[in-house]
Amino acid sequence: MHKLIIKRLLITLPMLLGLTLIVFTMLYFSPGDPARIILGDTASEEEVQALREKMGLNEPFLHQYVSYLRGVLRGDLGTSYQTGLPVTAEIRARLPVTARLALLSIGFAMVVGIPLGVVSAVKQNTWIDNLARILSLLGLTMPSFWLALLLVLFFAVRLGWLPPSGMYGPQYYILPVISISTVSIATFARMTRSSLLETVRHDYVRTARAKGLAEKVVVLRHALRNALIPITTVVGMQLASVLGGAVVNEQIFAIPGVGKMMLDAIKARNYPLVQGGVLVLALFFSLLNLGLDILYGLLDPRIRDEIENQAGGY
Amino acid sequence: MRLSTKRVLVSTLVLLMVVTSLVGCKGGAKQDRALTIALPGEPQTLDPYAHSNQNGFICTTLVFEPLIKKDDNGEFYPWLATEWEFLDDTTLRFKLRDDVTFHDGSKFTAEDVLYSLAVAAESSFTKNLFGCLDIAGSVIHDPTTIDVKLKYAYAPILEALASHRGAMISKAVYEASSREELGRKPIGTGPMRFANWFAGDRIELETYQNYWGEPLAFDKFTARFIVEAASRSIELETGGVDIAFDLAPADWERIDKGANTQLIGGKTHGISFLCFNNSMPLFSDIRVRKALAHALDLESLVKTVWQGQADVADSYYSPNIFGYKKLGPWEYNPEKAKALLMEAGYADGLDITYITYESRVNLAFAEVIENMWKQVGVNTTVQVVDLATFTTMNNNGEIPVSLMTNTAVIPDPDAALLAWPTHRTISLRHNDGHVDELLEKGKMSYDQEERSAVYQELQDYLWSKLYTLPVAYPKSAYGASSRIENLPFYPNLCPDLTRIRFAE
Repeated sequence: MHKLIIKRLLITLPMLLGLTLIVFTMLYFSPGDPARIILGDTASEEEVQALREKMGLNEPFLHQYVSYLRGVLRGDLGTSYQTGLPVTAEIRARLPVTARLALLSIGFAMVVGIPLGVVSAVKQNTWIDNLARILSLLGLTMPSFWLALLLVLFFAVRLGWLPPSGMYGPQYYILPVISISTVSIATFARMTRSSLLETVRHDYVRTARAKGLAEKVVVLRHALRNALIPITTVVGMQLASVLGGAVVNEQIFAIPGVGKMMLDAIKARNYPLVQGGVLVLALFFSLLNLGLDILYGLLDPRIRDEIENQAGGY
Repeated sequence: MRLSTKRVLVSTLVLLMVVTSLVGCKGGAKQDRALTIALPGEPQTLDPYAHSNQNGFICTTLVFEPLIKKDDNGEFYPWLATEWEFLDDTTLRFKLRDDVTFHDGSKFTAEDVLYSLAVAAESSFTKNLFGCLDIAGSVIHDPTTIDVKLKYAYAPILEALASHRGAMISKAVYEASSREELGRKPIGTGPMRFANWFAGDRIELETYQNYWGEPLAFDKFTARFIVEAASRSIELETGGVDIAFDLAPADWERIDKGANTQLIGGKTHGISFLCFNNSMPLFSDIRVRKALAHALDLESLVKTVWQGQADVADSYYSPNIFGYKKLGPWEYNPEKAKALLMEAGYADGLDITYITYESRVNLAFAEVIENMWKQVGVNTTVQVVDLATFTTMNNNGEIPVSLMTNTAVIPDPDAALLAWPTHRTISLRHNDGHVDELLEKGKMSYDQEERSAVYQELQDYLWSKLYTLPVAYPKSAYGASSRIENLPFYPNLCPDLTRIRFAE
C-alpha cells in the first residue's frame, strides 16, 4: 500500500507544476491590469506604469514564471497585491473553513444519499422508490444558489431557526452544507440504487439468499459492499462538485472561505492570491482523492492487489 | 453491521438533540451598545489615501477625522481645527485643537496636518481634490497653527477638507510603517480605533478611550462583508445587522414597510451617462452621437433599467449640486435619428460594439438600447467583460460606447465633472481644450455668482457637443433597523456614522 501512496504523491508533483503553468499563463494573458485596478480610474498612465514596474509586471513572461516557481519551491507563494500579506497567511486563514464545509457536505451527502439509494433499490418500483427518484431528480436539477436562497428564506427568515449568513459557530454550517450537498445526495442516491440493483443479480447474492441469510444481511453485507466500489469513484468526482459548490455558497452565505477569497482575487486581478488558491485547492483535492484510492483497497482486496502490482511495476 | 431499530432510534434522537441545542444558541446575540453593519464588499485597504472605495470609507469615518465638518444646512463647523480663515485667496490659516491624540497615544499637531495634506496632494485617489495644495509653501507657526498654501485659488477646498477624503493621519506612524501595514491597521484620531480584521468576513473597531470629543452611542463596531444584496437585506430583517448598505431596488419597499426596519434613501450625487469614445472616427462625428441619442426613449429606458429608482438626466450633473442648469432631457425622435444617420453616410445601417461589465443595471441597459438602436437601423453587438477588464480597457481608450456612472465625492461641480478634464485617461477622450478652460475658471473662483455662471456655460457647451449623453440620476438606499436614529441619507454614499443614536 505504501508504494501506491508514494507513487501517487510523485505523480501529484508534475501535475501541480503543470497547473501552476496553466494558471500563470491564463492570468498573464487575461485582460485587466492589476496596477490600474489598484490605482483606480483617476490615476495617470505614468503612475500606473510606475506601479507595474514596481510590481514586476513589466518583466518578460518566463522571467516572471520562473521567479514565481522559485518562490513556490521555497514555500513562498508571494504576497497579496491588495493587503500586502503573504499569500500563505491569507490561505491559512481561509482554507479550514472551506475544507470543513466541503468535508461536512460530502459526508452529509454520503450519510443521506447512500441509504436513500439502498432503500430505493430494495423497494424497487414501489412508491418509496418513485418518491426517492423524484427527489433525486429535483436535487440534481435545482441550481445551488437558488436552493440556498430558498433555504435562507424558509429557515432563517420565516422560521428564524438558523442564521442567514456568516460563519460564527456550528449552527452556521447547517444551511450551507444542505445547499452544497443536495446535488451530491441526489447523485449518491441514484448511483447506489443502480449499482445495488446491478449487484443483486450476481450469483453470490443468490447463494447468500439460498443459504438462508436474512434479507437485511444479504443486502447490507453482500450486495452493498460490492456496490460501494463504483460509489467510491463517484465520491471522488463529487468532491470536485462540492468544492465548486462551496465557492457559490460562500458568496451567498458570506462565508470567509477560499472560494470567496479567490472570486475577490480574480475580480481584483490579484495574481499571487489566485495562483496560491488554485495550487492549494488542487493539492487538497488530490490528497482527498489519494485517500479515496486507499479506501478502494480497504473496501476490495482484489483492487488492492491490482493497484499494488501496478505501483510496484511488475 | 447489524443495525438494530433501537440503535437507529437512539442515534436519531441524539442527533436531533444536538441540532436543536445548536439552533437554540443563535449566534451574534445583539449587544445594546454594539453597531453591526453589512457592506457589499471587503475594503482593499483602510488607508484613506490608497483607495476610492465606499466600503473602506464607511469604516474609516469612525477611525479618521477631518479638520472641519459640514452640517445638514451646508455650514462648516470646527472639528480638529477650532478656527480657520482665508488670509488671502491662496492661504488658509488653521488653529488646531490642543487635546487630540492618535490611537497610538501620540499627540496630533500641525506637523501631522501638513503631512496628511502632502499625502493627499500626491495620492492618485485624492489629487483631484488636493492637487491644488502648495505643500512646500505651507508654514507651520506652532504646533497648533498652520498656514496652508494653495498653488491657485481652489473654490471647493473647504468642501474637500470637510469630506471623508480629508482624513488626518499621523506623520510619525506613516513614516515608520509600510502603507500596506497601515492599510490593515489604521491609526487615526477618531472615536473608534482599529481592533480586528478577519479577512473575508468582518472588520471590528472598538472605542478609543482617550478620545478628545463626546463618546459615540456605540462602543463596538462590526462591519461584515456580505456580497449578495439579498443576503444583506435578510440579515437586516432578521436582526443580524443594524445597517445594510447598497440594497437592491427590489428590496426597498419591503425594508421600508418592515416592522423593524427603515429605508434611508434618496438621490445620489451621481450621474449615469452614455460615454462615447470621441477619439474613434465613428463617434467623433456629432451627427452619429446625436442620432444615437435621438433613438433612445430615455423616459421608458430609465424606468425599466433602474426599476423606477432613478430620474431621467437633464443636464451634466445632479440637480442637488451647486450651479446645476436644467437643459433636457434629450428629445426622443427616431425619425430625426434616421435622418442624421443618413446624413452622416450610414443610410444602410451601422454596426456598433457596446462593451460593458456585469451588473444588473448594465446588463438591462445594454439590452434595452440594443433594441432601441435597432429601430433606427443600428446593429449593436454587446460584449460583457468583468470589471477589471473594463477598467483597463476604459483607461486604454478601448471602450467604444458604454454606460458609466460618476458619483461626486463632494457636492461641488468640480468633483461632479471629474470625468471631463482632458488629462483623464478614460475612454471619453473628447480632447476639447475649451472644456478644460471652463473647468479651470470654475474651480479657481471664490465668487459664487461667477462660478455658477461658468458652470452653466459649461453645461450648455457640453449639451451642444454631446460628447456624452446624460441618461439618469440614480437613487440609492441603505436600510437600517428601527433603533437607528439620526442617520440621514448621504448623497455621496459615505454616511458619517459617528452621529448615530439608538432609540430608547
